[in-house]
Amino acid sequence: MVKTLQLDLGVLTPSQYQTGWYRDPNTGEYYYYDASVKQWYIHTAGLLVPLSIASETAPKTVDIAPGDTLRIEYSYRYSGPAVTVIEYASVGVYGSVTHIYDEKVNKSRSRSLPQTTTPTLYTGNLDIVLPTNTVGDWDDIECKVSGGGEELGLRYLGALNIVGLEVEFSEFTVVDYYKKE
Amino acid sequence: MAGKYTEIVGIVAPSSAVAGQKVNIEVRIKNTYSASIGIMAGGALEYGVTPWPTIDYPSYQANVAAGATHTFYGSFTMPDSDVTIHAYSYWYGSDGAWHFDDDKTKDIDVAELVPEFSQFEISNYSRR
Repeated sequence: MVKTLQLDLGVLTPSQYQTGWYRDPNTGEYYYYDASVKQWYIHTAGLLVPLSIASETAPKTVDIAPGDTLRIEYSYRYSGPAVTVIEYASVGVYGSVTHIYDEKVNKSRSRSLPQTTTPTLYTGNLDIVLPTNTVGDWDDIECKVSGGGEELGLRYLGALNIVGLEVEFSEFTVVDYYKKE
Repeated sequence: MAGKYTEIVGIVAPSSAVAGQKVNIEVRIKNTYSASIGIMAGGALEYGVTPWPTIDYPSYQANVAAGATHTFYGSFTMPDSDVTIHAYSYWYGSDGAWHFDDDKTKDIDVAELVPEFSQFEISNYSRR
């Protein structure tokens, strides 16, 4: 069944995406979002193929400075054989033209998951310390899990606002002047 | 082909299951006698090991009215190879013994368990 275009990417915050087709305004590419499983798909050769890592407009912007620690909390479900997975988070720069994510700093951890036939929920968090050479366009974050030859994750664009990069004085005012007794 | 007084009219089971998974099955046995009789269900798994592992029926006996069909619920743990469910029916005689009557089989393939991630979410991110 053909779905009609609903809204362009970047108009809604991610938590409000509804099931339907969306158009990337930068590339013109159409994507399908299934809200019931929170999964993006691309239409290829008549099939909807899941995107392993989808890019979404960040639901909020966090002010953060070089030297600060960013905590990313995540969750996912897994079913399959026992496997050791890598949970991975990073801060980087997503090229709006190139559509290439240039990772700048990351943190990861491994976790052993038991065999299960029903999708089981896992949660976790990773702390990333922003280095002192962080620059202003490091404003995107990516988080993913991989293992057993599979990978799934999410990328938030514009998630960070890097502050405190330059020494800056502003609104200097001489409040008063008088002879001191 | 039906037995003397009973007939296994169906085995309900999945066509495939993952090794180690609990598999629930139903064995439906009809009383073909002209009066109510005691019917017992039995069963085994055929996949190359002896003795054949049995199927667990929490309730394996029932008095069944003439012409009625009773469903016996059973389960087993799927081995790491394809199996054949071999179900049996017995009727209870006036001699106080259970008499083997009918049997039927159904194949279950072992399914490969493939890794799959789903519903990935970034639930929060913040400066610590």
